[in-house]
Amino acid sequence: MPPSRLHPVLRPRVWPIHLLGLVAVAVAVSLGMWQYGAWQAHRELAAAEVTTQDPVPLSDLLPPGEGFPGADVGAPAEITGTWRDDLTFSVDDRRVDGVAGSWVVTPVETADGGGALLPVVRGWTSEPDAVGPAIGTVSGAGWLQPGEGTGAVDDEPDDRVLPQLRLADVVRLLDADIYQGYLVLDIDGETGVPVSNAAAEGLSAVTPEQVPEVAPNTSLRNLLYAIEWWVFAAFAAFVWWRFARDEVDRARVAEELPADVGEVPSPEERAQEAAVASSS
Amino acid sequence: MRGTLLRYRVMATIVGVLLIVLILVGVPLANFDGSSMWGFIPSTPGWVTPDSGAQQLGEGITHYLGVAHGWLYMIFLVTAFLLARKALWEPGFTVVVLLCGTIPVLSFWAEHKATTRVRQEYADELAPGATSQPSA
Repeated sequence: MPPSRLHPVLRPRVWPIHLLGLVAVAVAVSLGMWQYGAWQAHRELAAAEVTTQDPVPLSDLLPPGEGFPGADVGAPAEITGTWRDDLTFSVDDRRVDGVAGSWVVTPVETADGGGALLPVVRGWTSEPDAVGPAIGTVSGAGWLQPGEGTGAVDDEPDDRVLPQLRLADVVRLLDADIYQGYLVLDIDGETGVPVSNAAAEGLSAVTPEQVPEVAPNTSLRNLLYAIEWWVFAAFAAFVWWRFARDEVDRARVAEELPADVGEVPSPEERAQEAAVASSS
Repeated sequence: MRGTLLRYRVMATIVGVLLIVLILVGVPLANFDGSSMWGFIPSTPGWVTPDSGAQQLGEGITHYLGVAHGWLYMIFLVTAFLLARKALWEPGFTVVVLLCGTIPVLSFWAEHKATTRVRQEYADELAPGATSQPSA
């Protein structure tokens, strides 16, 4: 091969290495950015105080039959409907200040839901058996929540007690169409909307802070993946640099030491050559 | 050479096995419930019931093993690259060995290829009783 006037690192035989290196680094960096973006979106969502927004009608946030709007976890929603006391159930293992208790949940047939039931958390109590019935119509506001999913198993599927408010369990229990979420009823008027017929005797209010967080690990996983991708990008860049340097060294050896190709220049010699090359 | 090859083979085996658990067990269990997947795959076969024990297991596998596997894969890449440098592989072969580590099942084939090549080319170094490595 005749010595090219191009610097060895720019010669055609090194191009595939550059292309591969560029693609690998670009892909890894952008995948890292994507995961980092997902992590930030989660954090912004967590930081945004959705729970103190002005209440809007439920049908604006979560129409029946539609999936839960991810950005509206804890958003205040107004409802009007009829208590379905016959379908009341409870969710146990809800601790408040160290006291074991339950949420009492009564589905509400909303006025505009076309028959779909909205599970409504009426309140918390340490004695679920002592809570009175919820009869008649109800109107008020509460904080909208997606179903839970902690992996807790319902040991006794035949009673009206659930270990968590998982919508799949609720559907099985109620045997009816339900909304893809539930409402924590605001019985103290925190949202600014007065509640009528909250059926809250014997119950204390559940606040949005008491609602178990949904998959808190998800965002951390995104961050870990982002870092992983960037470490990978750095590794790809290193491999790229190493391959390119090999080619340069090989070219130097071929051109400058044609007599004894077998002898590889020492690092000191290489540095001297580089200094000479850059000064000329 | 012997240590470098051993480190590479250990990491390739760990990563290869975990990759199979992750991709061929965890991902189907977690996602193949008939719904769409990852936002760009429109539908999946309805093999598992949503929220069933099997799907929870799948979620667990993808959640924790996914992150762990990513880091183990970094270690694998480093051991593989060190072997590539030591065995003086050309860039093409090196890249193929590195990339195949990401593909379930194929990773074992790549490991086999790489090991066979090193054993052939460095038989004297790897022979029992060979103590010091001849200088390159």
